[in-house]
Amino acid sequence: MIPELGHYALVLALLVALAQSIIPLYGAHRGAGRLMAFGEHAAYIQFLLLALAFLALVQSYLVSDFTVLNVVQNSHSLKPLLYKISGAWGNHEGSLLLWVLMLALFGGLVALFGGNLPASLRARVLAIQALIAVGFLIFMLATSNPFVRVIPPPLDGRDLNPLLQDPGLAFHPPLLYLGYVGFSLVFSFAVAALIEGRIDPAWARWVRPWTLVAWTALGAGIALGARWAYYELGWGGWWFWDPVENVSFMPWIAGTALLHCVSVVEKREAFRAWTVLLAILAFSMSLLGTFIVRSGLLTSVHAFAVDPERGVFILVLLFIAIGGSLALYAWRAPKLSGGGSFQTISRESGLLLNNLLLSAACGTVLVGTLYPLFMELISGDVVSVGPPFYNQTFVPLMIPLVILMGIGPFLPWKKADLGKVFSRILGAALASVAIAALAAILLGGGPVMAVLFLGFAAWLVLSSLVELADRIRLFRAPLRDSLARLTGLPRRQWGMTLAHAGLGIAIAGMTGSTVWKQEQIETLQPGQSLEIAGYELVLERVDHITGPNYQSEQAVITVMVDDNPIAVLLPERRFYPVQRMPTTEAAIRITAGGDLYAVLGETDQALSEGYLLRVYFEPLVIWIWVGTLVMSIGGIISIAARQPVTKAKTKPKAEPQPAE
Amino acid sequence: MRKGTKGLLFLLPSLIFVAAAVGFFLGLDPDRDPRAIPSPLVDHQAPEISLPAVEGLGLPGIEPAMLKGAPVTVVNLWASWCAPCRIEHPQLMDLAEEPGVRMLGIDYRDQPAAAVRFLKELGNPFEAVGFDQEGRAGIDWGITGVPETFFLDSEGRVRHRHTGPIDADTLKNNILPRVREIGGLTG
Repeated sequence: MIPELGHYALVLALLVALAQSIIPLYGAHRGAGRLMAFGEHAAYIQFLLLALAFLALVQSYLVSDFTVLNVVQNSHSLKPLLYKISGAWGNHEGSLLLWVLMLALFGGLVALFGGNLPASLRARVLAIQALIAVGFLIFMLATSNPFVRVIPPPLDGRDLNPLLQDPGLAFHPPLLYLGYVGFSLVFSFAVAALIEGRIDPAWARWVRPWTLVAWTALGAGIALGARWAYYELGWGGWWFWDPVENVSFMPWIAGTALLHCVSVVEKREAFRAWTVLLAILAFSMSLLGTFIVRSGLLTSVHAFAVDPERGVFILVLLFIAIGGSLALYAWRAPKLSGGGSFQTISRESGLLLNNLLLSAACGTVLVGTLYPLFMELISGDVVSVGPPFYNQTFVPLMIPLVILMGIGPFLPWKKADLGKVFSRILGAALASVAIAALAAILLGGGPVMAVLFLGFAAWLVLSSLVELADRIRLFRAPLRDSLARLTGLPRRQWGMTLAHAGLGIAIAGMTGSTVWKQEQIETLQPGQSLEIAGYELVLERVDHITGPNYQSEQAVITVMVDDNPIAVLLPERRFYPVQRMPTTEAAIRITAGGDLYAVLGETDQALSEGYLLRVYFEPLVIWIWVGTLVMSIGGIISIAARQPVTKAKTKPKAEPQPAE
Repeated sequence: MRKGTKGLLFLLPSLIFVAAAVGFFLGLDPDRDPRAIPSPLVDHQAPEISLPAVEGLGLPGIEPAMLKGAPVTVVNLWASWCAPCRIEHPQLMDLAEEPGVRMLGIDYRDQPAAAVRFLKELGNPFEAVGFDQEGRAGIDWGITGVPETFFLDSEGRVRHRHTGPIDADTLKNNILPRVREIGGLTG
C-alpha cells in the first residue's frame, strides 16, 4: 500500500508540475495575476507530493519491504538502521527521487520567500523550475521507478554495496544534490530573465543568495566525498580526478565564477550577458554530471548501473534543457551587453580576470574528462587522462588565480590606484615569501611547486586577514573602535574573508598531503614492526570479528615513538557475504601535523604466512577538511546576509501587474 | 565588433553544446564498453609459456603446444587467495561445458595446498593448470591483476581478453558470443 501511495504521489507530482510549467508562463505572458499566482500554490503542492513519495520510499526501506524491487536490490534485513535510511538514496532510482524532491524544495522556497520579486519574474522562474521537474519525473516514471514491486518477494535483500555503508553516504549525496539542484534555481532565474529580456541589480540580488546556497552545499558535498574516499577506499588519496569527481567539481568552479560576477551586475550592472551564460552553464554542468554518472558513458568508480537506454533518455533531457537555454541565450542575450564603464585597474577588471581564469580551469577539467570519450570516437584509441594532465594544466592556472585572490579584495570599483594597493599588501606578500622560505628550509628543500603553493596558502590567509584588519582600521583607530567595526562588518564581508582564507588553509593541506606523503608496504608476522615518519608500528595480533552483516579481520597495531606506545590502530579487512565483496577499513590517527593511516591488505599467502600492511603518513591532510569547513561557514554566513531592501512591497500579491 | 560577428559569439555556446551532444549520443552505443582495456596481445601470438604442474592437484602443467589446436583455448589466471576468483569460478565451470573449448589455468603466486583445496571445494574446470609461483607468466601476459582471462584461437593467437571476474551476465552476453565467434561455431 505504502509503495503504491508513493507511486501515485509521483504521478500526481508530474501532473502538478506540468500545470505549474504552463499556466504561470502563460499568465506572465498575458499579465494575468491569478494565473501567475497559480505557480506558488502548485510549487507547494508539488513539494508536498514529492516529500510524500520520498517518505514512502524511506518507509519501505525502514520496514525492509522486500516486495519492492528497489529495496531488494539495495537493502538487507540485517543492515544497520542508518544505512537502511541512507540506502534509500544510495542507488539510481532513490537518488533520482531525492534529486526531484530538492528541485521541488527550491521551487517551494521561491514561492515562500519570493514575495518581493516582480510577479512576472516569479511566475516564470517557478514555471521553468517545474519544467525541469517534468522532464525528470517522466524519466523516473518511464525508466527508473523506485516503487516497482517484485512477485514473489525474496526472503531477504541483496544488501547495499558495502563501500556505501558508511556514515559519509548519509550526508554526501544529499549535500551534493542540494548543490547540483540549487543551480537549477539560478538557471531558472537566468532563463526567466532571458524571456523577460531584463537583467538588473534587483535580479542579481535575488540570484546571489541562491547561488551561494548551491555553491556552499556543493563545496561541502565535494569535501565530504573527498573525505569519504580518503578513509574508505584505503589508498590514502582524497582526489583522483575521476570523471565523477570532475563532474561535481565543474559546476562548483562555474558557480564560483558566477558568484563573483553576479556582484558586478549587482553593483555596476556590467557583465550581464556573461553572468546569465554562467548561470546556465553552472546548471548545465550539473546536468552533465547526472548524465555521465547514470549513463555509463565514462568509466568511473562511482558510476551507477550502466544502462544505455536511460542514457539516451537523459541525453534528450539534456538536449532540451541545455540546448534550449543556450539557443534562447543566443537569441536574447545580445541585447543585454553594456553596463557601467571601468578602468583597466579596478575591481571590475580583477573580477573579469578571475572569471577568465576560472572559466579556463573549468574548461580544462571538462576537456580532461571528455577527452577519452571523444578520442575513442574519433580515432578508436583508448586513452585515460589522469593526474599528470591536471597537474600540468589545472594547477598552473591556479597560480595567477591565487595571487589575484589576495589582491582583488583591495581593489575599489571603477578605478584603482595600483601603487596604493601594493603598499597595503606588501606586508602580507613578504610574510608569505618568508613562510615559504622557512618551509623549504625546514623540509629540506622539496619540489619548487610545493614550496610555492605553501607560500600561496600563507598568502591567501594573510592577505585575507590584512584586508579584514584594514577594514576595521586595526591599530589605526582605537582598539574599541576597531572592535565595534568588527562586529558591525557586513556578513558578506565575513563570508568573503572566510572563503578566501579557508581556501588558503585547504591548499596547505592539499600540498602537504600530495607532495610529502610517505608510504610503506610490508608483510608482517604478529610481533614484527615497520617504521614510517619517525613512528614504529608493531603488529600485535589479528583478531576475527563478526559484525552485523559482515565478517572481519582486525589488526591490532601499537604505534610507538621512541619506544613509548602512543596509540593503537585497528585497521580492518571486512567481507560482506551477501554482496560477496571485501572492503578495507583504514585506521587513521589524526594530528595537526599529519595523519598516520594504516590498511590491512590481502593476506599474501604466496610470500609468507604474514599480513600485508600498507601504511601511509599524510602530512597536513587535516587542513583540507578544516579549510573546506571554513569555506562552508563563510558561505553560510554570507547566505544569511541581510539583503538590501530593493523594492518596498507596495502592491498586494494578487493584483495583476501590467504586461510589458 | 560588427553586429554579425557579435551574434555569432552568442551562438557559440549552443554550437559547442550541439557538437558535444552528438559525441555523447555516439558514446551511448550499447556495444561500447568504457571499461575495456585493450591488450597489446590482442591479435598477436600468445607468449610461449611452460609451467610446472601444481603439486598434489593431479593435473598436468602447461606446455607451449597446449595453446594451439583446440577451436578455442581459454587461459585463466587465478589464485586461491583472490576473492573475485571465487565469484568467477561458477562461470568458468559453465564455460568448460562449451563444445570446442579447452580450459587452461595459471595458478598465480599461490600455495599448492591452498590451490588444491580451492579446486576441490569449487570444482575443477581446467584440463591443465600451470603453477606460476613467481608471477613470471603474469608479467609475460601483461595482466593487471587476477582474475584475468585470455581467449585464443586454434592458431594460438590472442583474440580477446577479459580483466576482472567474469560474472554470469558477462558470460552470457559477452563472453559466450565471443567464444563461439572465435571457434567458428554458431548457436
